[in-house]
Amino acid sequence: MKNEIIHRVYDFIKEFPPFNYLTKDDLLSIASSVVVKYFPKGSIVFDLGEAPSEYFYVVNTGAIELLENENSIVDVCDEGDVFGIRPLIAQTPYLLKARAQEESVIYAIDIKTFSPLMEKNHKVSLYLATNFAIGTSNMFFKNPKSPTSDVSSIHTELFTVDTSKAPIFIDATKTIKDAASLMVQLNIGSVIICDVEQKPIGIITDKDLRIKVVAGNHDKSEQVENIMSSPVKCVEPHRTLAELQMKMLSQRISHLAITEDGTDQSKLVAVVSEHDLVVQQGDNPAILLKEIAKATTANDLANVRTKMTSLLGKYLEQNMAVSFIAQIISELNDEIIKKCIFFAEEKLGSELYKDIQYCWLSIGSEGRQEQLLVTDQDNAIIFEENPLVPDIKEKCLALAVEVTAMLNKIGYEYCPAEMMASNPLWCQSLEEWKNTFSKWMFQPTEQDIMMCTIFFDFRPVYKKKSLSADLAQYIYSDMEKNDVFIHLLAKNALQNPPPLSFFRNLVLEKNGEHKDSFDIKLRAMMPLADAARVLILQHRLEGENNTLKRFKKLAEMEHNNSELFEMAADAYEILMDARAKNGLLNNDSGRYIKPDDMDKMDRLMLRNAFQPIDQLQQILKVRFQL
Amino acid sequence: MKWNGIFPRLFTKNDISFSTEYQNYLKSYAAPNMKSKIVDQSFVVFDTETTGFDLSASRLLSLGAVMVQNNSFHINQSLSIAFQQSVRHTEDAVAIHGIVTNEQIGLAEEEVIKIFYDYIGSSVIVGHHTAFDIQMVQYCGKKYGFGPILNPTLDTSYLAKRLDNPYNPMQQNPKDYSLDALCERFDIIAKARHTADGDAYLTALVFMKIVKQFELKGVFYLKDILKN
Repeated sequence: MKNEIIHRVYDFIKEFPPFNYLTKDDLLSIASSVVVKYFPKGSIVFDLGEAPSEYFYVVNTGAIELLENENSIVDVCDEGDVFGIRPLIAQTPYLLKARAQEESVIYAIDIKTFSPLMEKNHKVSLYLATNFAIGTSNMFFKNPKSPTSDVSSIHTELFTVDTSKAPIFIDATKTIKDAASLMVQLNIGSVIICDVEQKPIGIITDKDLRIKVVAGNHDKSEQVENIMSSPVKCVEPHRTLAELQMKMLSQRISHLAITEDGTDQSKLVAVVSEHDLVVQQGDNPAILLKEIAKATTANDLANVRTKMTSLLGKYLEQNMAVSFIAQIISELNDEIIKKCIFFAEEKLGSELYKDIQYCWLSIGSEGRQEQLLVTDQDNAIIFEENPLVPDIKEKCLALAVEVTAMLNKIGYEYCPAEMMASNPLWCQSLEEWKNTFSKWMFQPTEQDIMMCTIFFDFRPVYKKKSLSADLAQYIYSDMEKNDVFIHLLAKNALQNPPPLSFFRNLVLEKNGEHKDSFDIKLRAMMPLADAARVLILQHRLEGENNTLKRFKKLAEMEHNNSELFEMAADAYEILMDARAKNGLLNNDSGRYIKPDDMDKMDRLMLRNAFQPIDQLQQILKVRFQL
Repeated sequence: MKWNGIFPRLFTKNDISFSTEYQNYLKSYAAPNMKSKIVDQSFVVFDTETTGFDLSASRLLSLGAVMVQNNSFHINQSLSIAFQQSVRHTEDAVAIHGIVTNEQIGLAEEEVIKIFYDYIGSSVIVGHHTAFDIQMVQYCGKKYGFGPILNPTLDTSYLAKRLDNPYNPMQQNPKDYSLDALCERFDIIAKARHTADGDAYLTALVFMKIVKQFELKGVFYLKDILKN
């Protein structure tokens, strides 16, 4: 017979983290260890300074308040919340007092039953570490350093390179002919050259053979050394495929040598090619890059964009570091934009543009490389004045109209605020841009400050990137002369206070289409991005656009605040992740989150992610005397 | 031996061939100290499921119990027992409890009775309309040499009525004092009703909350709720 008493407890706890990560059998054994306790309103569960009992607690019904002293409530636990566990594990007295805010029934769980289950279950310990600082000093969920640390072993196998087989290489003393025959024999496109100690010293690819031997002036009887490319890019073992892929993508290479210590000064362990990765991963950025390169119509690019979304979903599912995902997505977005510019020039007549020096900029979040989902376009053009070329601005605008229309067709919708290169305001010569920024910085209106927050994060995507660098240089030197501007920027960063109303409740939108949802962009991400921008500008640090990297840089520069900045970086990553997941779920920009749609763990993580906002804003207030 | 049991009419002076287990129960039984506080007292909150409501024609199907003390109870010290069945149940029980007939699992009646008498020890017995359940158990126990249950009993339905109308509790509308009604009143989610153990669990929660209500009215001691 089903034991209804145990099942009653089981049915309840199985719905809540960390219990929902456990198996039914484990939960039933926990459930049978439970003591059901009734606490009338106002009664004390445990008191400050008391030695920990053998039980920790889950609220079944009612609410338990945790107090630092008689009047300051630190937290309120309601249905399904766990409390009083940290002192048990840390073996310290209770640091808080727990009192029934309402009449409550709570389940006391025997730690002796729970501990072994906690230790063997990664997700449970992670959850407790996240929420109760158990086993780690960091309150945040650390996005796994290696993208696979949180996926099952099946995934891990898929994601690491097999280094068990002997690597294929050829001695430096061998001839080109030897190398070529080996490649033919093994049907491989390249071979690593090693010295006598099996350290990689170079690589020969099909291309080398074609260009340097068949069409060039090397003879196949020469030593391989003569035509090899070196040095060989090396990585250390146990890197995930995703990391290897990223490395190939960013360095535009198709082979990596895995050596014992990751440099070419140690023994070769394995060779991994782009092809190996492709075979193992199917949908992957390298393939998408190729598809972009091969695209002949905007439709082809739209297909790639769709695949990018599915890739994003896959990556998020695997809990890959968001910073890494954003980099890949941004890389691909850039390539799509470049391709569109190429199409547009072709359509309008490449001849017209060959003498025009211009640079296509991404601005806003795309400029910060923080775009995960398909959102609105935000872009601009800087061009160089040239008296010998007529109608430069008109031509650039015509181009921008084409490009933005194409991007729109691909799925990047027009910016409703017209912040696009096709708007004459945002298609300017370098000199005009300098004036625009000077005006914004020296005689700013509130509107201008907002513009600045968008345009400040500009990033060159295509064509003459030195124009963008020149403009940045100008802005920074201008800022040196002007303290008022950064103050205004700081003030702007305080516009959105931290989004927690009372302990645990998110500030939800009160009216309009998104009533009762939480605006994660406006209320959580913008305050962080704004704070990062101001602080990094204050340090006169140029060329760092990405909010995560900005916080990491700030952590390096300001030792006494490094913990906060690290926390802020983590928080931003969590928010990006939450927004992307929400966006994929609802097939939109992910900006408006319904708290009810989130599971408890995500809600808690989100709540933790808001904490640095308040502290950052305090720093801004003090530093800029606001 | 003088019977102060609750339903002495079930037994006559001739019923003296008591089992060893019952004699052990009698030896170890100590009446509760009426001066002790209610919260300090140990209570066995129990419920049974039967095939019907006719004492002589019905059979016990299952029994559930928890032991409440200090406003709490241990899940692993609870009872959740099915009786072995061989006789086909009457149709009305199936309708109420959703219990089907071909269950061959469970313990023999005699075993359950032994466990139960051992379990109740000197606790005060609590149940919702508990008189019937006690009668059922005693009626069944009689077959195996078990005499009357000496422990004082409390009926949560009656306690709740008394809470609302201390002087004329029986004038209250019984409908408002069903287990379902009380669960609703005390914000207890009444899931899996009509299983003995599930109802014992709910009744325990109801009981603890009722005791609190008595405390708020200045009733703290056992004597105050045991004396009707």
